[in-house]
Amino acid sequence: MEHDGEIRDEAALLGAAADDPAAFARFYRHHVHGVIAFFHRRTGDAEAAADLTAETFAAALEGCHRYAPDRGAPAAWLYGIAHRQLAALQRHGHVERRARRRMGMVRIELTDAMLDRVEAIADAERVDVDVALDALPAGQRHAVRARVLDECSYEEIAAAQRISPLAARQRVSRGLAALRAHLRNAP
Amino acid sequence: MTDFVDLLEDQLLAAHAGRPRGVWSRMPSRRGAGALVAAAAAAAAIVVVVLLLASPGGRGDARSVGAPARSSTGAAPAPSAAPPATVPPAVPPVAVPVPAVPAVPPSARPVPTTPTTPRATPVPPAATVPGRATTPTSPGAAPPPTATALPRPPAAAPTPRATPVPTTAPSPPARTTP
Repeated sequence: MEHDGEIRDEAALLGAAADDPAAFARFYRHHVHGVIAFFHRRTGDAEAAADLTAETFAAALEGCHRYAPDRGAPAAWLYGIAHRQLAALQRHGHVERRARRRMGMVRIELTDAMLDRVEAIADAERVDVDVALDALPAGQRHAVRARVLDECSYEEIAAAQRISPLAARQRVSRGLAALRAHLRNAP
Repeated sequence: MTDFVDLLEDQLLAAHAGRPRGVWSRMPSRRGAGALVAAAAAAAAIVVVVLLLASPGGRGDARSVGAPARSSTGAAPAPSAAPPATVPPAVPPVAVPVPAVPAVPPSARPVPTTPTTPRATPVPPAATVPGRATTPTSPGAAPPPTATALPRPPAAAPTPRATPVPTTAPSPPARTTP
């Protein structure tokens, strides 16, 4: 219930972001570290992660007036954009710059200090998640890892853990809820 | 030290301030606008094609195109006689084979040949009369019968096919009666 309320608040924030720069700034601040970590985890490259993050938020700014709550939670919408940017990188071999160009944004020339900071943000996010994962019961931890990181189906998780698919689904759901609560309460 | 996160935020806020507002911000994306334009163009093209086909000029062209093709196959001598008169009769023959098709199944193959043969056979009778056949105008005389016989086929053609296929004689009297 509390989680639903949070999604509603964030949806309202994103809905207002089209006309309110402060709302968009709050939305950006809330997700930028997670997005950097998302890209860093998948590319292993701080420069690519920073570039992809900039393009993702430029595309989000460009399209936020088209966001509708019935299209999913704001985080899911944002990570959908992130996934498309990642797919474009894999397809073309370079990070897209179209959204930034359309929004009149120039590419940020990354210094070593900036890259170090990007690495630090990605590591911190990873550590947070790892700590939260380690706090979970073993069954939930394996189920969440298998589902989120290895993208296994519930049937595969059930077969690996010798439980029913329904029980596997419950383990993943409860594990994610515990992770969410842990990260929300983290400093 | 300048942080990437802060720098990106500044850029985004500057871009936010420079974004188009009001109606323009509600406009569809470029891809959506392109799809709309493409759909509108396709709809306009369909309307134009339909109008062209529905207009009298369009039909006239279609018939004039179809008529020569038909005359080239069967009515070679006719064009000299009366092109406008031969064109309308050329249309009914198209309808004639259609009713003939249901009658065909009993005798599958003969159908395509019969429409031509009954008319071809009458010509010899006209040639058997041929005191006139000696006259070189017989080819010219042949087209008028075909022109008059063409309206008949809907009614007359089925009967000759049903019974008289074995006998070719009955067909000449049928022609003399009208």
